Amino acid sequence: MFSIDHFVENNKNSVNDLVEKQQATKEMEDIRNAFERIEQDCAGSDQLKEYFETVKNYCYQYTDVVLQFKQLFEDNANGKITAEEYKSNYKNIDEMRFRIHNSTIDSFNILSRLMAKNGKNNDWIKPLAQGGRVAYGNFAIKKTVVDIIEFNKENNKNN
Amino acid sequence: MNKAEENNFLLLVLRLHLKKMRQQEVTPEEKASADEALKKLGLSLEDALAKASTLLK
Repeated sequence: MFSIDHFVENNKNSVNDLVEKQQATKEMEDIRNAFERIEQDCAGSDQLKEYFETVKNYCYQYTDVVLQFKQLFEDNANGKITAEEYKSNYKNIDEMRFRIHNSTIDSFNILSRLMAKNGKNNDWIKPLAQGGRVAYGNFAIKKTVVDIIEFNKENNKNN
Repeated sequence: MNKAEENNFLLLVLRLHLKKMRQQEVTPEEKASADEALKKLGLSLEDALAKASTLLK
């Protein structure tokens, strides 16, 4: 007789993958919607539009440096680099990551304040401020991935 | 494919597409390895990028 528990147990990895995929897709959708609303609110002001682009640029820079950091860990774990190389690269990338993370956080906070000053809704900053550095960082990375996906869709349409 | 290989492929795909979006130079070799990585992952680009982003925490 078919049992859902038995099915789940036997297909644990696939089920976990599916759940992970659904969570990631939902998260991406939420970020896409949040940024669409922010962008719409910024549309009426040149200053806000310009600063929105600055925020995006920091999101991309942050994702780039976190990617470098993660790659360094992978290379070290897989024995692709020496302990010396790991040590020296770690210091450099970590410093850069810290600096760009701070600038990214500042850019979100400045945009939020500018929006409030222009009478726009800036409630989106609350969960970031509550979540701290990690929340800002995740928001920036997800925004970057959302933009890459959109960029590819546009590219495919034009080719 | 083990977890380490999978992670490397995901990072490779994300790195290449980030470079493309930022209009940075992408060599034909980089593009070929990212295409190959995506094929080996057996995922759509969208799924691979979403999965890669979960590694960057």
